[in-house]
Amino acid sequence: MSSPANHSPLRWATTHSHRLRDALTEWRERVGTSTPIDLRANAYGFGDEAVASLAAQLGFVSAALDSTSTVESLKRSDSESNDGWVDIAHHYGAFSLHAQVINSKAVDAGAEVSYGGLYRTTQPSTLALIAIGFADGLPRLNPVGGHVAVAERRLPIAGRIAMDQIIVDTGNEPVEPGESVTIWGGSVSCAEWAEWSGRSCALLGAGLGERVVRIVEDQ
Amino acid sequence: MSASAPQVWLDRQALRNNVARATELIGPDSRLMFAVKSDAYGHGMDLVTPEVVAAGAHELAVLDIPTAIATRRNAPDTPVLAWLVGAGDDYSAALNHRIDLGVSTGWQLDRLAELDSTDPVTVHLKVDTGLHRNGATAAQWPELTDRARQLELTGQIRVRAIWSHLADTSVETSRQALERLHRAVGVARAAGLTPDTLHIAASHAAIELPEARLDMVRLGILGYGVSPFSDQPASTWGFQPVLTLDAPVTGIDGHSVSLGVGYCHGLLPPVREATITVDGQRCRVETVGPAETRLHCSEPPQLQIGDVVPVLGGAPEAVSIEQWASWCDTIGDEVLVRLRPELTRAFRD
Repeated sequence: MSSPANHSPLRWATTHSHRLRDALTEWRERVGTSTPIDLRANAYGFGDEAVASLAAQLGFVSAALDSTSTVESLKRSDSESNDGWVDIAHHYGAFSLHAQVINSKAVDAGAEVSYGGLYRTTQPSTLALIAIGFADGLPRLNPVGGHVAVAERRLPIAGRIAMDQIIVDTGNEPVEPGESVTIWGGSVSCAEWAEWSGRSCALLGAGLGERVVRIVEDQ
Repeated sequence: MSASAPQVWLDRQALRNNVARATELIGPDSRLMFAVKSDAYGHGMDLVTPEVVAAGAHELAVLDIPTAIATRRNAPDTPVLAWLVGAGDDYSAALNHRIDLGVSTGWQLDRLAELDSTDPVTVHLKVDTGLHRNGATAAQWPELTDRARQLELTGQIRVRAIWSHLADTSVETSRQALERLHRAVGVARAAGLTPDTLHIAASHAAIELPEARLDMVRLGILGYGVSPFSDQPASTWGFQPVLTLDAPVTGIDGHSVSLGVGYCHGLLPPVREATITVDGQRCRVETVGPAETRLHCSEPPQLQIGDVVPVLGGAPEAVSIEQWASWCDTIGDEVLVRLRPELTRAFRD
């Protein structure tokens, strides 16, 4: 897992190449290599260069691409393409979205959290501030809710998702500034975020913002 | 005019008007800090920043240190505040670029203490007054202010401001938050700090609670002419929408029209019944796809491929940002910040 070193990004997305290759192999078995693969919206967040180069290795020939795309490993296609590979790739764990803990503090029972006071602590607790928000592509969940994860531990989002930040209730086991939190692609899945938000994983991936640093892991 | 790609147009007069209107609203005793974070709320930071500075914004707010440094090329002399500061951030780069830092914790002060510099870092010390987001709690505040004062005495920082952020839950909770801020300032002064600027209000409270304007108001969404309230338009206070998103007609088939804009350009798909006006009639949005939006019109519209349709924003026929947001079950801010940076943006004048 890529965790932030010095001068590390506040939020980042990791495309896991080996799992993506497995997912594309399954996709190839379903549709064959002649169906154009839909890599618009920067391959729905996976990174069009990374997906295109794996798809080309697997024998795919053509792709639907953004008008601004610089992909050369696949031929640009305007005919009907298919983004069915996206959910498969998420299912294989080929993508994860992360952010840093910025602050962590103890609060009393009854603390109202974030805009509108829509979350209230029921007992003395600790709250962690995480450096990611709807400007980075998180859906502004309405009604509020949702979870993120620190390793295997699922933690509830406390109240309204803001433009640049979320707050997580860490109970009596606080997390530390600099620790990394997984938003989706681990113990919390993209499919769950799709359910909470009513937005598909393709749409969620397409909405990832410019501040999210992209990492492709090769091993 | 014929087009093949979506385009973002900015209204320079509207932006200047909004800065002037905000300055008038908050009065001569408060400074105006204009928020240009999130690519200036999707408008384009490089276009907006020099314009608002020229129009009289006193200070700028961004989010993090990298964005603050990027802002410097458009605003060499304007104070810039970055307030989401991580454990791994480059604090010396912030100092080199004269970035004001919003500081909430002791470990952030420790990082500033480690810097090897003859100039102090300008700090806005943040207290949590009930939002429970960033900022030191009342329990942490005495230790934080004592530590900040030590670093002032050794010349490493200068605490220029004490600030907070409101939850905008109600006027009553905002008043309580304001009282907590004033109490925190008392503690800070007793520790020997001498801040000259107190700030807590953003767009919402700047309108709703005049006593929260204090020495500075941080203007975000309202500066772009989009309302922070669900029940009143920004025009209530004389603010005008700055942005319009245009899209080309890419297909016509009887009652059906395709527009060349979709969610890969950042257009958020509605979850309720929505309409877009083309050729003078309101046509129902059938789907917002990756690169295309399909409409159904009750009368076959008289259009040609390449005709330009104002989709969202300030143009008279366009859907307002607030209206689109309500169809997406969200707020205008989310509709705006999703607009992709690759879209062409320009002032229309």
